[in-house]
Amino acid sequence: MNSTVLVFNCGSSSLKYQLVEMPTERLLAGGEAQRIGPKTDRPAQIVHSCGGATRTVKVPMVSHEAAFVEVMKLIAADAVPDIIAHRVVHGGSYFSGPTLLTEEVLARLEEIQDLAPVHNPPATELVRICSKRYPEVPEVLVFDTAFHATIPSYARDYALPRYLREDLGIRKYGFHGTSHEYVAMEAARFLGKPLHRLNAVSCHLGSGGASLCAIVGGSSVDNTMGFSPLQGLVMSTRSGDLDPTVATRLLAAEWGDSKAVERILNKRSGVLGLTGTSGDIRDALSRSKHHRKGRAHDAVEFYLWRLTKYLGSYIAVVGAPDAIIFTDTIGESVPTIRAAACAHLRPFGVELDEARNESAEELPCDIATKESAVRLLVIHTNEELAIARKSYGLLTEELRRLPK
Amino acid sequence: MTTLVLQPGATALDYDLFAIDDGEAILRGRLEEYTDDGVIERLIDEANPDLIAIRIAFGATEFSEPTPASPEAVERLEALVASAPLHLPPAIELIRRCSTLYPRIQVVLVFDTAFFATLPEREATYGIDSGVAERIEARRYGYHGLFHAAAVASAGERLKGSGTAAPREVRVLSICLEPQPEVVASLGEDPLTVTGGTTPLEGLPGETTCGEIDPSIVLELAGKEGWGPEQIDYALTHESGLSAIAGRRMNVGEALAANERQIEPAGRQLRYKILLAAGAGIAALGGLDAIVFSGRYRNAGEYLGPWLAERLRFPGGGTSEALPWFYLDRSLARLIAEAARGALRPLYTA
Repeated sequence: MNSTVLVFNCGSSSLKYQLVEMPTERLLAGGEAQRIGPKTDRPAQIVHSCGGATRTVKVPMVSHEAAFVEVMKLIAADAVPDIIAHRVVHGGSYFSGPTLLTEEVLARLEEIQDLAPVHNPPATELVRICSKRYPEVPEVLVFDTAFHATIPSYARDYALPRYLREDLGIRKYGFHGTSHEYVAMEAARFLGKPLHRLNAVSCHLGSGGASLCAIVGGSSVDNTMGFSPLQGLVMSTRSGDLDPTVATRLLAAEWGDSKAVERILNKRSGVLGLTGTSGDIRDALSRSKHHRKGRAHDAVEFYLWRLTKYLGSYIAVVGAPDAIIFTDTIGESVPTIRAAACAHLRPFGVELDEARNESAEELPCDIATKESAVRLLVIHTNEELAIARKSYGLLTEELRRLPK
Repeated sequence: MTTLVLQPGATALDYDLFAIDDGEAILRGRLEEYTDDGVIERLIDEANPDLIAIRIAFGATEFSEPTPASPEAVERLEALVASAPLHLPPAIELIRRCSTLYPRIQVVLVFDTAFFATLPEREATYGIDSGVAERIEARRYGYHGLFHAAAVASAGERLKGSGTAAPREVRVLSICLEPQPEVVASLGEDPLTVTGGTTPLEGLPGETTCGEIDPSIVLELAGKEGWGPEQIDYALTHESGLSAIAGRRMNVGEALAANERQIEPAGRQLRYKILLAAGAGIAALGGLDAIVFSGRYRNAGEYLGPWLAERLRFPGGGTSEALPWFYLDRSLARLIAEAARGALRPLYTA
C-alpha cells in the first residue's frame, strides 16, 4: 500500500517541504515558507507547488510554529500524511542512521543542539511542534552527519588532547551526508553496480556550502567538512581550511569575541571575502571572463585550486575510483567549474569530454571520454527524496519486525 | 673555510662547527640563555670560524635567499617581529652581537622560508577577505625550506640521465620528517603546494602540534570554554599532535616506523595525512617522478616509501611504474652551512 511522507527541511528563517508518495516516489506537493520570524521589509510568504501549478501565499509567520500551521493548511487540508520526516543537520555522535522519534530521542536531540547552533535549534523546535500537533503520526529524523559515521578514526580524529576530544565531542562529523549518499546510490545505479562495490569521489558543490566525500565500497571514508561545516573547500561565504593560528589571531584582533570571528569566517569569507562583492562563484566566473586580472579572477582561481587539491587527495584515498560525481547547484549547472576541476586530473587517468560537459543537461549523465579510466557523472541531488526513502524504509522495516 | 652554524631558538641555541666543505661537524652542542653576556662570545672565540651562518626560522616573503648580515638586513628583519615574536627578537640580538663584536667574520642569514618565495598566490592565499588577511598576516608561508630545496636538488641529480625529465621539470614530493613534519610538491625548484601555513602548526600533525583542524574548534574553545588566544595556542602547539593521540610522548620516527600490524593510531593518522598531501601534490604537479625523505626521522621512509608508492599508482600514467623514493642524508646544520657558503661565492668571484 502507498504511504505519504511529508519531508521538512528547516532553515533558520525558512521551511522547505515536500510531500512524497512512497514507494512510487511521486511528488504530490512541495514548496518553501520564506522569511519566517519578526516582520521585515518584505512580507513572509509560502511558495507552494501542487499538480504542476505554483502559487505564492502571503501570510505572516512570526515563528516556525506559525509557518508549520500555514504549510499544513496547504498540504494536509484533506489528508494527514502517514509519516513526517525531518532533515537534521547535526546528529552528534549519537545518531548514525535514520531514527524514529521517541521521548528519549528528542531529549538527545536537545542535548546536541549546541553542536550546530544555527541549524539544529529550529529543526528541533519543529520536531517538537509536529509531535505536539500530530501525536499519532510517526516522525523520522534523518541526519546530515549519519552517512559519515563510517569515516575511520585516523581521518575522523583531530590530533588534539584527549580531554577535548572526549569531553567536548570535538571530532570530524562531516556534512552533506544525505546528498553524498543519494548521489552515490544514483551513480551505482547508473553504472549498473551494487552500491557496496562503488568507489567514488562525490563533489557536492552548492551555491552556499560545498564539500567533497571520499567513498569506498559505498561508504563514506572522508569528508572535507569537519567538526563544523566551516572546514574544507572555499565556499560561498565560508573560508574553508585555515591555519589554526589565523583563527586565534582573528580572535585576538576581535578582542576575544568568538561570535564576531564566527561571523567573519562563516558569513563574510570564501568567494564573498575574496571578491568583495558577491558570494556566488558564477558571478565571479562571468566577471573573470572579461577581466583577466583582479579580485574576481583570483577568487575563481583560489576556489578551483582548493577543489583540485582535494580531488587529488581523495582520488589517492579511494585508490581507483569508478567515478567522480558532480552535484548540487554549481556541480550540476556550471560546466566551466567541472572542466577546470578535471583539468589537473590527467595523471589519475581522468579525461573530460568537453562537448559532453557543455551539453550536460539531461541528468544523470557521463561527461568523461570513452578512454577515461574514471567516469565523470553529473547527478541531480534530491535530499528530500533521499529523506523520504530513508524514512519510509525505516518504518516498513519497523512494521516487518512487529509480531504478526 | 670553517663555518659556525647557529640555530637560535626561543630560549636555546644549537651550534655546529664545520671545518671543511662536506665533512662532519667537529664541534656541536647547545647553549641555554645564549643572549646573556659572554655566552656567545666564548663559543665564537673557541670556534674561531671564517663564517657564521645563522638560521632564521621566519623571513616571510621578505627574504628569498641567504642574505649577508647588514644593518639594512636587520632592519628588514625587525619589521617582521610581530609575526614571530618568540623567535625573531633573540635571533636579531644574536646577529647584532656577532656583527659588532666580530666585524671581521662574515655573517650570513639563512631562512627556512626562503624556498617558498615563489609559492603561487593560489596556494598562499586563504579564503578570507584580503583586508582581513593583511591585518593579521594570514598567508601560507611554508617552513623547512632548506630541507625541501636540497631534496629537490638531489632528486634532480639522481634522476639525471634516467630520461625522466630535465632537473628543472622534475616533479618531486618532498617529505620532511622533522618534529613538525611537512610535505611539499615541487616542480623543479618551484614549490606548488606545501602543508605548512602561516605557521608550522597547519598541515600534518607533529609531535605535539595539532596540524590541520576545523577553524571552528578554536572558536568553540573560546566561546564555550572561555579560553583566550594564548591558552588555545598553547594547547594546539604543546599538548596536541601524535603525543596527544598516543597518550604518551611519541616522535615522528616512532609513529611511522612500524609495519601494518604494529602501526599505532598516531602513525596511521600521520601516514593518512601524508597520503592526502601526496594526492594533492600529484594533481598540482600533473604527475610525480620521485619522493624524497629528509629530516631527522627520514629513515621512517623505509616503511612509508613502499606504502606510498603502492598507493600512488594511477591508470593515467602520471606516476612511473616503480615510483623511486630516496633519502636526503644531510643534517639541517650542514644544509645551513652549504647555503651560507653558496651565498658568499658571488662575493668572491666579483
